[in-house]
Amino acid sequence: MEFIDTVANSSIRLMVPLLLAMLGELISERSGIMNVGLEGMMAAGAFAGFMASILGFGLPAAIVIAMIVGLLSAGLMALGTVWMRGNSILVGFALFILLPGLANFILVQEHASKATPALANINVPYLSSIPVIGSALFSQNIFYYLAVLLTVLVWIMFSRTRTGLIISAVGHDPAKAETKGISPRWVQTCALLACGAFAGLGGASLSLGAVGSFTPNIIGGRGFIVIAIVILGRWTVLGAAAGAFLMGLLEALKLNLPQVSSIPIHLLGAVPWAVVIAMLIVSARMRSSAPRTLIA
Amino acid sequence: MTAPFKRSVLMAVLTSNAVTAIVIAVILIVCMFFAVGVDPIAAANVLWRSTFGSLRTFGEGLVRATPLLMISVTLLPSLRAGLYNIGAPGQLGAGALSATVVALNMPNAPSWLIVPICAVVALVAGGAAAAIPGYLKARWKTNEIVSTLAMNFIVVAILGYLLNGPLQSDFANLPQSPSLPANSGLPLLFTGARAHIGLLVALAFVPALLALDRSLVGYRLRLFNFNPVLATRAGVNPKAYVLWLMTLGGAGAGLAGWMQVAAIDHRLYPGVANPIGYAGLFVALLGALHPLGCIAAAYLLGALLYGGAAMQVGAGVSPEIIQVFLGLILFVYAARPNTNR
Amino acid sequence: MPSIYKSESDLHAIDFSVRAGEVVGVAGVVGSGQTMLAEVLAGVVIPQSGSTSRDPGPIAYVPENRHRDALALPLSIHDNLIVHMQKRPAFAKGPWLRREAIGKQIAETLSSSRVYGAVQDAPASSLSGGNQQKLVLGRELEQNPILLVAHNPFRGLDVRAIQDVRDAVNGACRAGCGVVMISSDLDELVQLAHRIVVLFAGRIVGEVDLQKEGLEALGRLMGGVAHDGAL
Repeated sequence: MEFIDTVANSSIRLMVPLLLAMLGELISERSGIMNVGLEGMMAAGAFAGFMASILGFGLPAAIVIAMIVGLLSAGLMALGTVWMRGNSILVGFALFILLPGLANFILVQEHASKATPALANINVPYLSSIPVIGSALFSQNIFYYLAVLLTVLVWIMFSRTRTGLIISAVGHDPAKAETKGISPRWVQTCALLACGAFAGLGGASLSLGAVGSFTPNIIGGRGFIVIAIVILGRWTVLGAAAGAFLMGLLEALKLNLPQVSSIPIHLLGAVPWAVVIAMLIVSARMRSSAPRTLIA
Repeated sequence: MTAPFKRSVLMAVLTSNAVTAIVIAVILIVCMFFAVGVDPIAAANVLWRSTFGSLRTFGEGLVRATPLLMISVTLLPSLRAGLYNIGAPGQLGAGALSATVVALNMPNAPSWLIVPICAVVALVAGGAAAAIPGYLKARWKTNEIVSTLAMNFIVVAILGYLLNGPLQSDFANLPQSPSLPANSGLPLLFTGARAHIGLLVALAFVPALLALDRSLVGYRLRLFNFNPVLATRAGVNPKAYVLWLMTLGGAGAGLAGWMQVAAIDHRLYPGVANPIGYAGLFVALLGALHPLGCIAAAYLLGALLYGGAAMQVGAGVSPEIIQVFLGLILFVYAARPNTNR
Repeated sequence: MPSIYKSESDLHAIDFSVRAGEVVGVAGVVGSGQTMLAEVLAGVVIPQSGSTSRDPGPIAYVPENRHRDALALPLSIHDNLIVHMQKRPAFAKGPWLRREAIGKQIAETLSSSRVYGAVQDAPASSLSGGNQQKLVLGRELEQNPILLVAHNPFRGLDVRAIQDVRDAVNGACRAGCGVVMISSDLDELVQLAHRIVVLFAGRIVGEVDLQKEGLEALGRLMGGVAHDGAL
């Protein structure tokens, strides 16, 4: 029982960075740009939040700073892709190399290696006492509640508001959207900026929350896992959120299974990625509802 | 008639996207140096000395350039077709692993036998590692960026498992394989440096690629790159092409893995693919997707990688600056109008 | 063979035949399934059900969007011309191209398609729209095809180019090639076609004999009004 409790709790906790980054990537892809640099933006946000925290800025300020840095990183992506019309895959990959490199460089050069203050869990009274799912769903840190709130908001945006419609229209047929008076370039830029903010928030949830410090490989490929999640979730909020939960669950199992079974630790590390590949295959065989102008 | 030709080639290279990107990146890096209190002149000095200072340092530059050239040249055909194979670290690891296993199991075979066998095995393993995402892309159009990246992590996991278990050296409690027997080592190019014949193997791919460009298959590939549907009417089987293009990239990375293990490390480490893995892609892009460009870019980057490590001691700059430099170059290079949005 | 894209309208119950040396016009408004029909006839798209039977032989296809579908614009004129030639042993031996034979054939094709002043190594994008279309047609007809599928072949061409293309189509016809001309341009259809069928919403809704009926009958069918007046 305790094992299930731990896994449930860990799954939700580990899902949070994926969920946050997923929301951003979803917005970007729905507008027609696959943001391959997501991992870099998450690293930038993680590092910015981390630095802000150890420089004494306090949690709310650190979170905001992380989001701003993520947004600025996405601004670079928008500049290179939307405005300079560069190849979105290459520009994204460049940011994937550049941003973590910058972060690592400043980290080592300035000898900044401390731990951030641990984040307290916020317990929802009464609800958090429900067995099994209670502590998992209602006893998490602030990032979790933020993630849930934002997921709902983004879902509302895409299913009910005009903004969501405009974004989807641009991703579907930018030329047609232009004839209706929408500027695809501005929509894609705003979508990318939003993606960056979410990515920064996701990164901060790692450096300020789950991990508690900044290490060179803190993001660990999550940026690309999120891209796969969005594909599997068929570019819907609910689908991708389910995918994020699945990957969180896998990571939780990876961390906790060795205690109860004898499967080698290292091989367990391969499982989430094998699942990612399986996800890609499954979603490719389903009828695709990809935004039509999305490359790759 | 040759003089105007030479001048125009030189001008084309100097004003090319790659060179402009490098220049801009250098300017930005120098600004960064000032920002963190590092003397750019001292850094440049260290870099120069560690590149051309002596035969040994020149050899070290070649040593690092060799796998970069190997990976980038075989990556060119797939990159030209718009296939973004970022799985070089995994494919390299697969190649290194298989070469290691073979070498460890044939300690008494003659050198002239074991060396080619290791090479072939590594080539096949690397190719197979890339063929999986390649098949998925060909058959189901799965995104090869994510699938090749996933393969990277899977290979790392397998290496981690093996090097902490079945394949672990008995002597130290470290994740590394036993030392490779001497018969599997690669001959050196010249004494006084570690440069090895792997460089010749990598270089051999360059004229092969140039010949391919002029051949029938090369024509069909060209057509496939710019108009896949028209290529189908020209007799191209798109699925087969995708699969073979990806496999080729993997084979090259596998060979690079073999070289790393057989010529440099002489045992298998989990981090065998660092930092070459992603850098191979860089070299291909910086080389403007041309084999000769790859040679130049590979040497440049190889020297930089070696010099970067020296800069820590010589000028107080941490080697991560190299990654920043690479990212800047790629960003400036990529942020240009491009038909492949 | 891959499909280019999934069109909005699917084709239903197409029953269609072309004879050698005959020009069949297919009239239809935009969105009636013209592109899908063109691709199926040209063999670029394989229909999920139904079959096509034809005498064996090359098929020439001139798609509507010549930039995207018929040409590789960044590649040279030479490369764009040898698309079909390189499949034949006369022009390729083993892994290599027979450059001399190809060079001669290219020169011949360019002149017979009336593309003048073209430099073989220049990119295809350097040609005018009319010359590009003539290049495509020349390349396709060089195969001595048994069937030519042309979709809006005169779009965007000037008067001279239109005449040249028309001559090329007539020439193919005389050589025994069957021609299917799919077009929204009634004037061209009327001038060139021996008979005209009408495509509407993915179906062949009728055939018009222009001698007996007039353009009005044609227009009505294209708009979806059946022969007896019902919609």
